[in-house]
Amino acid sequence: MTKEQAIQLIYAYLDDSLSEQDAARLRDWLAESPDHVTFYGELSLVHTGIHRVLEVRDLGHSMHTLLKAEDSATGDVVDLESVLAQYSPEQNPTDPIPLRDLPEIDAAAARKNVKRRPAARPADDEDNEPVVNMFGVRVYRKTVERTAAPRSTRRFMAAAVVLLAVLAGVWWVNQLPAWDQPVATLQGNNGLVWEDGGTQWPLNSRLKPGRYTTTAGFGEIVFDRGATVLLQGPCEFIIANDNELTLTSGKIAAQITPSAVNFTVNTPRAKVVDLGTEFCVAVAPNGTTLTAVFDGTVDLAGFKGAKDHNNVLLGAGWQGTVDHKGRVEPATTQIPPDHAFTRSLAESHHELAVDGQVKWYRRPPANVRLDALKTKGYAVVFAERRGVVLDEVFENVLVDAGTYGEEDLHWYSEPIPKGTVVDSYLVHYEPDITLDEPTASVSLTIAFPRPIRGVVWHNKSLFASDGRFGLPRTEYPTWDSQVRGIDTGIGDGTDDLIIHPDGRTITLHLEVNNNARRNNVIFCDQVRVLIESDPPSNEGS
Amino acid sequence: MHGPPDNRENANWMDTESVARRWTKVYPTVLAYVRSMVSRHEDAEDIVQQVALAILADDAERPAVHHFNAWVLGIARNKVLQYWRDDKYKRVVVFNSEAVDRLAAFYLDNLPKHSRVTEALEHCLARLTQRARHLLELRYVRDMKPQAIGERMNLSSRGISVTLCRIRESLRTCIGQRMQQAD
Repeated sequence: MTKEQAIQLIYAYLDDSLSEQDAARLRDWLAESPDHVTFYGELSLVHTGIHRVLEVRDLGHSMHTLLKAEDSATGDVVDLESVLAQYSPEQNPTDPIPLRDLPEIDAAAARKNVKRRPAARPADDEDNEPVVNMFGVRVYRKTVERTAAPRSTRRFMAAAVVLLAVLAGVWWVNQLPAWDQPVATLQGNNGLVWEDGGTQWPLNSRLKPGRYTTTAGFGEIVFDRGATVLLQGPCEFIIANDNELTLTSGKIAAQITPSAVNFTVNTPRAKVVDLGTEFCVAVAPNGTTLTAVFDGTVDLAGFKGAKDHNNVLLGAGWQGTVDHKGRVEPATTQIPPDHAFTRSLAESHHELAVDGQVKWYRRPPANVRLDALKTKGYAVVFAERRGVVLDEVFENVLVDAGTYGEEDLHWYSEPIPKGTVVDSYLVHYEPDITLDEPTASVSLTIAFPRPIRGVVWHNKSLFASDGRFGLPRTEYPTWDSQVRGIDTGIGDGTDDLIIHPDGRTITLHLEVNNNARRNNVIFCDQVRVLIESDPPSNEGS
Repeated sequence: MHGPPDNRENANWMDTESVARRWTKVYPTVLAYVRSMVSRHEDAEDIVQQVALAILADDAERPAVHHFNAWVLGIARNKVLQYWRDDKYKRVVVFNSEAVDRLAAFYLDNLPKHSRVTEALEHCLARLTQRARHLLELRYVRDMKPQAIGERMNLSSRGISVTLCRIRESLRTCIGQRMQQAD
């Protein structure tokens, strides 16, 4: 088999259009030599690369949208037949076609370059009826016959056509977006790391259309049309224009001003169009897209390749999913309190890293009293007040690294000095168990963004500090109804607390049994963690 | 009093966050590797999803960081072989297991170049005529086979295949030149 024949067979296999006979030939050829497999690999890199670029980038979703817009109703014409006619099958099929030696045109810019013809037909005779081409676009196959004009007239007409073409070209160039011009601004960051790791972008850096990748941290960019987007690393995205981006992986949060209505987020499998709102989008590695709406409404549409879009309108407080095949899941759900979205740069300074049997409720519960927040198999942590200035020394807290449990009693640390500014978090565990299930326990680890200044573990101290650190809209237990705090062998079970050497991480083992409930005294486990308060500083990365 | 256990000392352990980060980086290569052997797009995506699930499920088996990519491609290889063995698909198979392994090694070797190839490809796609890009869009985004494109255009599928072949060869040449210039 010649190399040219092998190339044809390989591409035919990749196009899923190889006959059984040719498959056998290709199988034998691949088995002949390891070099043949390597050559196959080189060709498949091109095939899979085109797939990825077209699917993920502008020529994926945007081109699909464009082609749908180029419907027969618009009268636009895309005459692909003419270009195919240039490539006769009789030519050597593996000869590369010549590429344009023109200045590069951004893919997104190219989609603006649609040839427009008037919707009116060039002639009204039956022979010139338009046919619908592969795009569902009307194409006139037959050239309209015209009576030959005198030579002088033809020269004049030719000159006029040239002039018109020049004018049209100037107009067209002016209509093209300025792809080398920035369309967004980096307005803030919190530990943002770009993919190359070495880029130092100060605040107010201007961003041009193109592809960007972050590996960690948060960045806030403001599009020129007014949309504010929070990037949560790691994420990969493409800025398309001043009101549109493509998110290929990772998470973003968008807040839209009235001037930026219809701000669009494309993903490999979905399209999210803002209708005046605040929303978040997460794209999993397989393309599954989760969209959560916190304010207003968005239009979430799935993208299923050759098939039609399907879509759903999401209102505030709801989230929807487009699966990896571009199907909008019919059931939308309310955004859970432990959703994974960081909604603002300010919020990013209070991120927790949780592990084990715990859920981080970004939306604080309304009530942590008896029977109000019972869970199965996990505890809950949520943020309380921030920036609290201690007006007196705060005692009965733990801050030194180590293990605090029944076997390792060391329940004393230096008090927190007066004047210290802290942020507060509460860990809550009340298991949803019956009297037949005597004991329930959880193990969890929480890493806080800044050093711990004190862990409030004692029952009495928790009650005493609710007023200072508790949230005004959350109901806390009352003294006579409930016992909380860590138990050291007495109470509703045996609990352990570990403060890690990094001074920011705790591990808890919390146990609750029903003996107390039988005795009509209600127990649960709660711990309040006070950490250093640090107002965000918007420095460039 | 004693401190918490330090799992970082265990060379064979990667936490979930590290796995997610590494998976994000290796994902395009895994998808490309699977697509190079499984031509039906939806089947390829299903297989890659199974790979992702397997990675998350096998937390006890996670290898050290420097073996992660090979481990993931090994899982992908097994999933592809499993897919071919499944009678319900009845796919045409042109690879023996040795070729599958060699192809995995090829993609592993080329993994560092993946982003450069993509960048070069973007450059070369921009040099295609818009009409040629439309044809690629029909093939790759709308997932139409040459025969379907030909039927819709009232042209032979052979003509479409030849044109697609020539476009892809021109892109391959262009990518090679572009990367040579960059070197």
